[in-house]
Parts: sequence; C-alpha cells; structure tokens
Amino acid sequence: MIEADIFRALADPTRRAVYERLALREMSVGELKAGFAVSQPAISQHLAALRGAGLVRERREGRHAYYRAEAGGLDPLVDWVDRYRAFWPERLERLKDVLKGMDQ
Amino acid sequence: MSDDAVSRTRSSAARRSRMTRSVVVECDYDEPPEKVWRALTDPKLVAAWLLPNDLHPQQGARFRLKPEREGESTIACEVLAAEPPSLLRYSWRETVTEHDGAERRLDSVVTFVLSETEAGGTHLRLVHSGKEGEARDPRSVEMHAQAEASSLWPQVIGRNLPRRRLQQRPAKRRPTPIMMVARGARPAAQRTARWAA
Repeated sequence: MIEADIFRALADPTRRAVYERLALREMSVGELKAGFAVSQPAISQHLAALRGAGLVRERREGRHAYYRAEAGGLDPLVDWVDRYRAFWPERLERLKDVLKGMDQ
Repeated sequence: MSDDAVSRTRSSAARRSRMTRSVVVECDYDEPPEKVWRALTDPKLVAAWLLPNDLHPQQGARFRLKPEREGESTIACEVLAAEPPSLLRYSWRETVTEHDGAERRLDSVVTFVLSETEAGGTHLRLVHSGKEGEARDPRSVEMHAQAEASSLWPQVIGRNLPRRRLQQRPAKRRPTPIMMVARGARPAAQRTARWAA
C-alpha cells in the first residue's frame, strides 16, 4: 500500500532509517539492504511508500534502479509545523471573543 | 557506532525527518466548559473562530472545514471522540500543493481537552498531532504526549533548534514534547510562545 501521507510514511522506524540513509547518498536496493535485517521485498515496499509520499526519487539506469532522498521532500512537514504554531494561538484568541459574544 | 552511523546522525535531512510533529496550545477562558463546548461544536460558532464548516459533534461524523482564502484546500475531518463537555477529537486531512505543483497529503488529529478551573472557567488544551493511531483512545491524551516524549524522535521542532542542546537534556522529562504554549487571557501581542524546557 502506498503511504501518501507524509506523517505515516515516516512513522515506521525502519522506513525512517531507509530514508535517512538515502539522504546521505544515492543507493541501489542491494546497497540499502546491506544495512538492514529485513528482506529485499520489504525494503522495496518501504521505498514505494517513501516514493508515494514524495520523499524518495528513483533513477533507472538500464536494468538497475537507484534511490535517493528527494530534495525538499520534508518541506511540507516543516511548513505544517510552522503554520499551525501560528494558526492555533490566533484561533484560540478569536474563540475568546466568540465566547464573550455568546448569550448565556 | 560506525562511521556511517555517525555521519547519518549528522545529516540535516535525517535530523529533520525526526522532527516531532505536534503543536500543543493551552488557554484559559472565563466561561464554563459547557459554554466552551458549545463554541467548539456549534457550526455557526465554530465558523466564527475557526473556519466555515458542517461539523456535527458525534463520533464517526464526517465534516469539512472550508478554506478562507482561495487556493487553499478543504480540510476533511471525522469526529473520533465527542464527550461533552470535556473531550473533542477529530481527524484533520489536508492536501498541500508544492511549488512544483506536486500534491502532498498530511493527515493529523486535533484534540481539545476541557477542564473546569477553580474559578469556574475553562482550561483548554489543544493538541494537533501528525501521528494518528495511538491517540484514538479518548482518555489517552496524556499517554499520547508521553509516547511522543519517550519516543526515539529527538524533540526537535522547526529548523532552528540546535540538536546538541536537546541531547543534553535529562532523559526523564515531563511529558511535554513539543510545546508551543500560549496561556491565559493576555492579548496576542503580549503572549509569549515558548519551548517547554
């Protein structure tokens, strides 16, 4: 299943580790697998999930495929936190005014 | 620790992938919880402080929050818990469009916990978290916060907090991972957002 949601794509520890290795440099599935005690199909599944969330990019070269972290892939997460850090205090302040204006 | 592992922990992308993904805001109101509950669940009142909506405060009810500005996406929600006048939780799904036109989905959960203050007012704690699942149990807000605090994810939020400082913190901390705390009846300009120490 493709994890389109970025939060969930990074919630799995193995998947997060895969992502972090690919942030260092481009790797084939075989190279990636060397660092983990999981099967190649499992790695491939993690890669598919990360690609689905826009976090990893695939490059094909003949029969081989190479993967690396997508530049700026985490920007939506950073933006999300920034946005709601500003959003909620402002809204809860507005709620205060709404409460004052309510009858009973 | 292998060289590879050392350089891995130094990688900026790696650090950012471990960001805690929650925002917590606390606020006190003069009005009692029953009244605050009404303002959190009556669609007309919710529209006045949050966003236009068709909210129905019943578990399982789906509703939408409509954007105020053109170009922003509608937020799709589902009520996960509604226990008047103390707990309201709904899912919050949005799609953001990146500069390159690609669409990314962000699923999160918003939880409002209301408790009566000694003065008869309401203390409201809002948790907006990017982690669904463990927080589904209506009683587990604190557990949820604790799980966040004790997880492997360093308590880094945003881009500017140096990691070294975080690592020097004692391992046992109170369960306030993430914190953007805005308290009390001070006007917004004077309110100070702070990181929980």
